[in-house]
Amino acid sequence: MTLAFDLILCLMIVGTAAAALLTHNALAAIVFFIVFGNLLGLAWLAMNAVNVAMAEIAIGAGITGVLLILTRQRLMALGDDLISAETPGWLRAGAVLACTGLTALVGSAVLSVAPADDLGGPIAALLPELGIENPVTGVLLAFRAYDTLLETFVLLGALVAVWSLAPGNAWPRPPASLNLAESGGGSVAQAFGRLLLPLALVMAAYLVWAGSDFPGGAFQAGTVLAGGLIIAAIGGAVAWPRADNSILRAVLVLGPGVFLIIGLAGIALGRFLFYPPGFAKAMIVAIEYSLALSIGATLALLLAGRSVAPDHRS
Amino acid sequence: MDAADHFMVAAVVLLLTLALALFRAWFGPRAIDHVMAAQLVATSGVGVALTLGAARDDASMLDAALVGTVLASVAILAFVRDGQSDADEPGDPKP
Repeated sequence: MTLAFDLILCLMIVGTAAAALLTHNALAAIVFFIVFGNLLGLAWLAMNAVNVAMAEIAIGAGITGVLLILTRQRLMALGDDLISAETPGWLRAGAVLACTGLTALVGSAVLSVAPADDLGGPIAALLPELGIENPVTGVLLAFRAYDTLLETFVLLGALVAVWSLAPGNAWPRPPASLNLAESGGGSVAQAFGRLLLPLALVMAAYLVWAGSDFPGGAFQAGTVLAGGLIIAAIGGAVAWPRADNSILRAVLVLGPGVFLIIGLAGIALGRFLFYPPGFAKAMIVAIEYSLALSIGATLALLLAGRSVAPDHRS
Repeated sequence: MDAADHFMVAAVVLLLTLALALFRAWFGPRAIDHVMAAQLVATSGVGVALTLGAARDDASMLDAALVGTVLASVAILAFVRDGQSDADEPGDPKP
């Protein structure tokens, strides 16, 4: 039965990816992209990679899908007909060729690794020293912490890039509000936002805490936080996040800042990003909680978009 | 057949019902039909994650399902927030 499940899932993943590429309807393409993300999450679950599955469902299907839907609406508000120009044949053929080559390359790389050759063993032997049990968190925040530290700054850079696109006279105005115009829909969204925001807060706190021993972690928690915030803001239950809000700005740099300070403090004890023995878990959890807050704020502000000048209001 | 097998059968059946939603996602015809298809897939996906978690006896898959439930609802709200009601929108062009 597992084989049947895997085969059907694989067929559907390839099918939805093809549908997203082949449809000429922008909304249908977005919907197939979201479906593709959800199915990919299920595929990771089927392979027992729950950490990756959570990240894929949260970021690939959840937040990216919302970003695409909002982009479509902003484009329509600007009068774009959402029909892209016909792609020349040579470009299509080239894209197919490049993608097929990349797939073959990745496939051969994956198949060349013998199943017994993975890093699970060596990492499992090192985890007791850290005091955490989730190998993914161990790799992300201890063995490969440098990489994760840079990733958090990349996310911040993306937000600064979005802000930079706002015209000069738009500061310090808020981004175009997504509040529901209709009173009927508004009250439903408001009640839903009031209900979901506390749930999202509890869940984000739980995901970070669970992340040290079970699948979960700062990125998944931050995404849930951003989702809850945006739902509450759309319904009007909380204020729409503004780029010039000084508290939000402090939260934005809190995570990378705490990570960097703990990393620099490690120099005093030996080297950059060194956790003193016995305190590794406490530091990792502290970094993860502050990162979750920062990632949540960053994603919420990314969804809110750039500031809009009065004459550009869309 | 033990309980885990039963859960796998349930997961396959749920996956097949999920596939049916893809017809709506492709054909529409209204904008809201596309978006509702995405919601249906997300809901069925949560179901598949739950049955898979039961089949593998892995409680953390329930957490993945929870993440899916919270974030699936953001997309529909982001879609309906558009000032004009989408029910009045004429059917969009065939894909």
